[in-house]
Amino acid sequence: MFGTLFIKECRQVLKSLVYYIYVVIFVLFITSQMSGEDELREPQPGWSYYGETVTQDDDLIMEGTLAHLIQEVGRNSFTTYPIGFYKEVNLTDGEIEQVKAILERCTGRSFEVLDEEMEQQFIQNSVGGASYQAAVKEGLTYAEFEAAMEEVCDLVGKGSFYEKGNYENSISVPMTYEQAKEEFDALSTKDGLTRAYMRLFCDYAGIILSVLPIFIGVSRALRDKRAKVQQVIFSKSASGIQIIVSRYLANLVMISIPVFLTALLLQQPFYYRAQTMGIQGDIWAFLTVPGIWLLPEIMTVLAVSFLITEFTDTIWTIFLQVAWAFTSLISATTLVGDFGLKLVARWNTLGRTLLYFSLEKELFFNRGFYFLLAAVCVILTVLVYEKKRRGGESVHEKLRKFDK
Amino acid sequence: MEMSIEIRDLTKNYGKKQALSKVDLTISQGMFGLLGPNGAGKTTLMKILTTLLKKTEGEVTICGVPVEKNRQIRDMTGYLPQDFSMYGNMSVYEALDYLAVLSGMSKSERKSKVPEMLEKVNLLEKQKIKVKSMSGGMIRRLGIAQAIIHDPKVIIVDEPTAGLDPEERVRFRNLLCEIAKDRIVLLSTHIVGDIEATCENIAVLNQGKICFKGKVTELLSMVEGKVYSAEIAAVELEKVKEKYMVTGILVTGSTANIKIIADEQPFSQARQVQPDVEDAYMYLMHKEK
Amino acid sequence: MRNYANLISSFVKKQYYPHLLLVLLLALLSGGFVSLKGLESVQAAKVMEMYVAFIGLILFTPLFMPEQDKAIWNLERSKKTSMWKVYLFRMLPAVLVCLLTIWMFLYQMKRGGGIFDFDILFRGSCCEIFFLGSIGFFVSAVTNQVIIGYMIAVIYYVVNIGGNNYLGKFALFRMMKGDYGTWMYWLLGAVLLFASGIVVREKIAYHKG
Repeated sequence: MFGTLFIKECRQVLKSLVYYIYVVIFVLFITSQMSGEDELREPQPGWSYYGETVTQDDDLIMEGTLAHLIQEVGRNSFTTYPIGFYKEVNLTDGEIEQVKAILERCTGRSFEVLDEEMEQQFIQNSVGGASYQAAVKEGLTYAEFEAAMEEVCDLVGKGSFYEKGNYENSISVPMTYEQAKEEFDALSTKDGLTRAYMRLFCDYAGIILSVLPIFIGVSRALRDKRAKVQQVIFSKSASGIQIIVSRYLANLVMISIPVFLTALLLQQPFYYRAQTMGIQGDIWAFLTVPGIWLLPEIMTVLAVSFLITEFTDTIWTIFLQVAWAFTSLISATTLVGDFGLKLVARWNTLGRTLLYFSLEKELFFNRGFYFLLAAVCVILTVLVYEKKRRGGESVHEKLRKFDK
Repeated sequence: MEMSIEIRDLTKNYGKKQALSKVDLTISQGMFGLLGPNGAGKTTLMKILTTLLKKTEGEVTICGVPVEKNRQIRDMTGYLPQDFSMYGNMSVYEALDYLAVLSGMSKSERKSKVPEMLEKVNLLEKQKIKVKSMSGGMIRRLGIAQAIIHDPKVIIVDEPTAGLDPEERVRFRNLLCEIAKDRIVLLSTHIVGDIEATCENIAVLNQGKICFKGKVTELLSMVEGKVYSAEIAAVELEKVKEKYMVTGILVTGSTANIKIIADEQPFSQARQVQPDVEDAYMYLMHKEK
Repeated sequence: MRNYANLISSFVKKQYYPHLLLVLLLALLSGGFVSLKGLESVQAAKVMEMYVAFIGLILFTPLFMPEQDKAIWNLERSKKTSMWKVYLFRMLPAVLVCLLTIWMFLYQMKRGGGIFDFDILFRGSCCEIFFLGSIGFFVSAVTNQVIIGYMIAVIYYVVNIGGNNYLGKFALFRMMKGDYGTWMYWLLGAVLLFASGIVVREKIAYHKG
């Protein structure tokens, strides 16, 4: 019975307007974003510029972060992103003095001296050149610096530049030839080029897939009520598991097909280009990379929309999930990495292979979490469905009664 | 195995509101009519029988199986809900096939049964039509086809003739009678004519209580000799209506032919006539008040 | 006139009130998402365009919810009041709440020491938010599926975040880039979509669905 239900459900999807809108929007969005992404050459010695990289050097991080702090203290205007949206924080005079004391502790110079120093640097370097770095006090350890920044965070509030995860991923410096070469080698050997390309694909696809499946899920879960078929289906012998899981999987598969197909079509030209460069690409990257990055996301978005819609019999989940998607998108401190437990995992670059492998575990943990979350939501949906079937009411119906 | 539905002391509460109160009923093979005004609790009773609602108190068994055994009950019942419909974008054939799958039928079973059922309800030629372009009568027929396709012992139909034209209604009743030959068919309606034409055994439900159960003839005997017909001046109509229970009026020009239920002859020109089920039902409802 | 007042109040009571509550929620939660204190014109525009803009699609997309049940639509069409009047009267609370919310946000930002031109930002925000709302309105009018209305409006928003060049003068988020000149395009788009939504719905969509 399950297989037949699944096939019939897939046919249902193919008859719904929402699905075709999904396919068209997805393909248009991806192809418009992915065009012209091929700054790809093996670095040669003697170039003047090899691109930038986020520095891992403790001294550079400290100097850059402190310079940033001096600027913000000067204006008494601290940029924060507590839940993603911009929020400006202004400190009281007392608090500003505390921050100035922290600065002095780290650099050994008073704020007035530092401010002057920075201005001089700006005048000297008004035409390009290196940005200002505030030299630290002799003997300042990184741990001391971290503690100092925590104090700043306590004053400024959540989501500022002075959180460890932020400043450690924000200070970029020009790459040397060796670094660039190392990156490129990793890209071509460890990633076979195509995997890196697919990661970029997942970045764009992940944005739009954090919202599109909501509408397919809501539309499916409400269809029974709209078509007035709830009662008759309830009275059939098929179990809630069979009904809900076949629906869920059918929708999941139908949503995923255009994703993987687009990935394959975009990957192929790139795969052949890699060959002409003498690099053996990974032909299965279009399956493995989106399988890990995107599938758990689609699963979760769809499962949550099933669950909440089945529970409430309304379209409320659209608002909830759109808010969730946006919060996830704008709360990322960097467009490359910073996975945490965010719904959308960003990797807005072609390459950075070494960084990727250092963060891979975090990504797997994140995606594993969403995989489980989706499974839990599907199970809950089955329970809600069985409850409704035995005369339970959705929240919506209860409210309606309350109205009367 | 016994072919009957046994309902003992069945009570159903929605919060403080009592929808069914101590209902006792035995329904055996054949057509059984459940009559009652809107809101009497008919749909609640039917939903309990089809496992769609949990009862509050009492015992219900269908062919010996307690109604708590969802799966078994669903296997042996077919249900046509009051507002039956199907996904508008499916064809008649697809819709029936889909519901047959949900009843756990295999591919080969469906291949033979679906056309057979469509034939039976006279939809075979229309099998390619989309559900959204079907008429009310066609949807009802599709509804009955889905209720019987898995060959259930018990068929429960809720207000099946509401919204059908007279011809469709007659055809539908005949179809039900045919199906009822070797099954229990429980038919609920507030249209007295449906019952009169098809059922031998009936129960009348009012405000959650059974106020009559038995044969149609027994119901009729309750008003035997109490139904009168008379010709009066149309202007007197209001006065008569105030005083007696009038079950039928036909005004022609300045005179009105009326039908009255009264324990004794109301006035001299009134003459006794044969009662029909509608008269009996009206009498019963009047008494309940 | 009383009939129309009834029409509005029954729509609000039966169908629309959750959406009004949602707007209220959006306003109440704004403190957690955005700061309304000490904003310059670019930051103020960003709050209006990226956060407050959602009220447009929340308020204007669900106006056709009752008629998703075709039986209700049939019944309404059989009444004396013409449908376009019914729709216009339903838009009334949406427009009022929308204007009021926009004004409140701007007022709060001004009170918080914001440095921006109130009138120009008010005009631009209204036009842009109406325009975003009119997209949801039009799509749900024509498809008679509120879900698709929300879908397209949300997607329009997302595509604009990506900074799409194909949308020309109708692109969103112009004011936070310092461009206050496209308000009349938004207004034009909104008026066109509102009007044609009603016309297409009654003249074509009704007979198809």
